[in-house]
Amino acid sequence: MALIELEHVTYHYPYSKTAALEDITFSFEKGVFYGVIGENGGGKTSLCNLLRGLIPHFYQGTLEGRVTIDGTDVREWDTGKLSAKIGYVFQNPFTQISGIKATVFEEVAMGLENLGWPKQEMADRTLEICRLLGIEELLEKNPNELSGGQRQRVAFASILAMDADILVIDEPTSQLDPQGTQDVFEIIQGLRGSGKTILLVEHKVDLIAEYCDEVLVMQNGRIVRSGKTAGVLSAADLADVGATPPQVAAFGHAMAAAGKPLAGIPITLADAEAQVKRRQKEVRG
Amino acid sequence: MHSEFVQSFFSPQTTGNWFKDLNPLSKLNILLVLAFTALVVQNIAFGIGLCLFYYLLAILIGELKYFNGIFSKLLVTIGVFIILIRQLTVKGTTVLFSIFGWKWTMEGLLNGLQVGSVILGFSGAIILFYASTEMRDLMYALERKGVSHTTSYVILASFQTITDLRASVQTIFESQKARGIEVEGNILIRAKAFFPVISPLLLGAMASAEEKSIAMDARAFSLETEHTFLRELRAVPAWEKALVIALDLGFAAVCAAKLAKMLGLW
Repeated sequence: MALIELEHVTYHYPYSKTAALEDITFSFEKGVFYGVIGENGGGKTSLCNLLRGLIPHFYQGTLEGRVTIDGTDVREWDTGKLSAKIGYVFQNPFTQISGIKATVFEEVAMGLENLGWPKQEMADRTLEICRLLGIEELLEKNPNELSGGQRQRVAFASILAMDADILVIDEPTSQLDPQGTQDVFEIIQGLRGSGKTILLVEHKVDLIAEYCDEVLVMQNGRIVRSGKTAGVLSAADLADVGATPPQVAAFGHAMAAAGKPLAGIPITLADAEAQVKRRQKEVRG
Repeated sequence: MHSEFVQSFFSPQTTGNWFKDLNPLSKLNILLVLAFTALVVQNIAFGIGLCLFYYLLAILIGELKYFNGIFSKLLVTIGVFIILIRQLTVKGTTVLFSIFGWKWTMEGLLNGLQVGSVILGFSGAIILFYASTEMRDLMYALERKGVSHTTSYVILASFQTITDLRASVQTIFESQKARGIEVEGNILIRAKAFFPVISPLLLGAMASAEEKSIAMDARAFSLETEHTFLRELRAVPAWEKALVIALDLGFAAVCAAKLAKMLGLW
């Protein structure tokens, strides 16, 4: 049985005539890392809100169709229990800081306090996560006085610390520099080994190509493409559905158009490099 | 082995100062007793003595700067305001001096001093409480007494929101200025700038309140389970309980004496 199942789901925000999500049917399997891409206003954040149970518990509006999380209808889930099961990191790092804790250490531990963890385990876990995210030097700092990028890491750490089975992550690197972004992706990659199911919304498609198992493309509230990362991102008409293809895929298509196709359409840099080298060898005989 | 900072969470949070380390509720109790005693006694000498005592306590807890910063402003404002008003409203016969025909009387002055000392005696206790107590400690103590963590969150977050909103006003001010809206100048110009500044502030605050509640929900805030606390306060020692009870009894005695005096029994 799928972990999260959506059947013909349509959702309207209150007072909105257009559907934010329209006729979505999809199964999210346990332990898979899903990447979500698509144009702005395509429904990516609404999908996150739905999977996290904020639709329909927090945002009212009208929800049609069936949404089951771990076999139970989302409407029947207790919001508190759902928050322990599904971790949610969203775009704005400024509002994700609680505002009531005086140090980063306490901020990251806050979720564990709410989950009722014993103090020793709470401290150990918090330190482990802060080390993982490279925010050890911020431990004693006031979270309300951090920069956007630092807050984003702290917000991410606060959710990771809670060790939820499912992680819904909406643009976690919007305020980070390329190195910071790479670090966060590597951390998310590391989480896959522990059997977590991850849904990541991200505009940086080259990183999606490198790390995700499957990709969903959203446009006008619908999932217009889905499947294995290589299959979805190598499609020639990806731009037609509002998504930007990886740079190396565009290169692969250009080569094909020039009558010199590579063995396949690459989606990662390493992939492209290997194919180009192979081609060079063939040409040199 | 954890660092000293992390290790500090494994023992109750103390500052090493006997008064600051009192349980926030004991501190609140003690200071409220002093504040209400000033109100009940209504005596100039007692009021002045109490204010001096507050100063002494502020020095002892190392918060003289904070305490004096607020208290001195209050002293000047209340002193001037009450004494002037009382000269206008209280009729007296003992004229001390006269300014352009306005006769200042002894009765008015004494009345002003009395009311002023009551107000200062009362407010000083409140200022001292804020100077010596961290709000999160007060909320922790209240949560331990059964106050819901939602209530405690809302109160604590409100303090942070005030700081955040102040910062937002500055940002909005700057950005509206960049858009060509005049925000500096005489009172009329400033009044005109009120709406362009206040509307984005309000809308922004509402939007962030929504996101904040999602963020708190993401931290399992609404999970129905016994919360644990990383930062804990020490158990209330017996001497502290005794001190609070003694002061409460003392206050009851003062009230009884005052009542007896009013009824002519004493």
